[in-house]
Amino acid sequence: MSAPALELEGVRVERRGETVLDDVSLRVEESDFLAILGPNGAGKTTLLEVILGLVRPERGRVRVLGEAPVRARGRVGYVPQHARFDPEFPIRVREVVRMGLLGGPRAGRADARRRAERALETVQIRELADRPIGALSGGQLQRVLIARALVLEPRMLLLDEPTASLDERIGHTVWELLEDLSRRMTVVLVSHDIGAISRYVRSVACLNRRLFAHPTKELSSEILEATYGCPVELLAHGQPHRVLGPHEQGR
Amino acid sequence: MIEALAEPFFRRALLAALLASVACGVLGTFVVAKRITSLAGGLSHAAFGGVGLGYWLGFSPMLGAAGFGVLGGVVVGVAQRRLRSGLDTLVSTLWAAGMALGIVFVALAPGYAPDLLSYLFGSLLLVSWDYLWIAAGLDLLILAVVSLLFARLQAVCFDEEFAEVVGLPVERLFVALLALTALAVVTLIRVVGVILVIALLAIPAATARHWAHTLPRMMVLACAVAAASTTGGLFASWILSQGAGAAVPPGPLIVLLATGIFCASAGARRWSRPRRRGRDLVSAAGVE
Repeated sequence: MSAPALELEGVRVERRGETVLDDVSLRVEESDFLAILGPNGAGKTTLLEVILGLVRPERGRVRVLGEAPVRARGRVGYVPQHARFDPEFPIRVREVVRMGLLGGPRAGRADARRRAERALETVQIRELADRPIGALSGGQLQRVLIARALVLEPRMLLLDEPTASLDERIGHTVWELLEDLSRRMTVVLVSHDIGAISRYVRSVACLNRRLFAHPTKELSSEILEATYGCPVELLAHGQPHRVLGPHEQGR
Repeated sequence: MIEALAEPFFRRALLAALLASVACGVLGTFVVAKRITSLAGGLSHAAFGGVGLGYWLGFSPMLGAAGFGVLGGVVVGVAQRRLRSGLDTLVSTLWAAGMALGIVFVALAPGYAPDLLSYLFGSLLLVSWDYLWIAAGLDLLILAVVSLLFARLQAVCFDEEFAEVVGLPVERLFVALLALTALAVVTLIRVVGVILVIALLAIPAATARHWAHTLPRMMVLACAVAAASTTGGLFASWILSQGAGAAVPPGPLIVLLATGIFCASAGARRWSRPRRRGRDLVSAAGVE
């Protein structure tokens, strides 16, 4: 069996004397679609930063695609929580997507153009290539950021709250896109949005400083309670991927 | 107006204005897009310390300005990512300390420093060929570095976090950007003076942003607005002195003209796009 896409062992991260992540161990196989759930301040973004090699853990071991995080960067696409940049910045969709190529070997002009077109096609917004980013809707912007992460044809895609700022309808279209992508690469995302996730992802883990459940398709309300520190109402969305355990009398 | 061009000093002034317009259009675009105008203001005032040092020790004040400006850029660039808060304090300190150092150095210099005011408020009508060569050289350097690093500088300005994720040396690129800004400041000091440099870095580029959706286009437009303002201000100064006998220096006229163009452009944009969507209004209100 090949090396797992992602492997963390006993990872501990401290920031300004406070423990942000504690003894986090996680193993994600290739072409999994994993959601890491947790409340605000649970260390979700820090976990992504560890995987990206931006934060070095105090303790523990991290392997990304079988290598140290920094060395795997060119093969990991990253989609930040959007609206971290200035929506008024004078730049078009095309240039934002091409920015993703900076992480790889130098590409020629024609090659860069072709790759950007292909990435835009994958996220179904090729016609928006010449739009300024300030003129996009939230859902379109999210697709641009995904295209930027895809332009180097990564083997793993990391996303930070991919639907946090979208309304439910647009959110669903983004989830469908991610599900589609997960057939071609490993997809790992962090989110606090329990409801939408359950329908699309293949595995779920819960994070609140510690990792509460190892990746599993079955998410129990006990695990969620431990994670969120309070009872959580679970809504079962059913097919195609059932995340919630069936009720006691369920089939 | 045509007779102005017969005067060698006026032709030199015009050339200086146009050379400075290139530097301020290109770097001003980055400064405005990344929203670091106050930082650029700090650098230009820090540069005054170098002007004073040049007077005191007897080397070219322009060289001193370049040295202090670039040094200030390195300090701020390195500090920016280490200080979570307090960057504005650092910039204000740099701003004031640079001015104070300049004044102290000039006071220490033997004799009388006759054209000190020209560094504070510009002295476009007095520029020498030496200055023109320096400005042309700095323009070439700025254009060369910017075209070489364009994609990377753009990435750092647009989304620092992502730039870091793809492995760009974000800090070094940002320092390079600030150093280039300091060099642009040097070309502008003679045109409008230390105190008004910030206007020429910010206003033409801010005007260009009304109409440009990419950085390269914004640069071209900003250079054009800067060239129009500097040329116009220069001629306005000539006309006032010939017609009304009033000796108004071109620097402030240039800044006022640039401000006028900015306001007209803002009005024209509003008129050409009468209704913006609510989302845009919210985001515009949030950032402006």
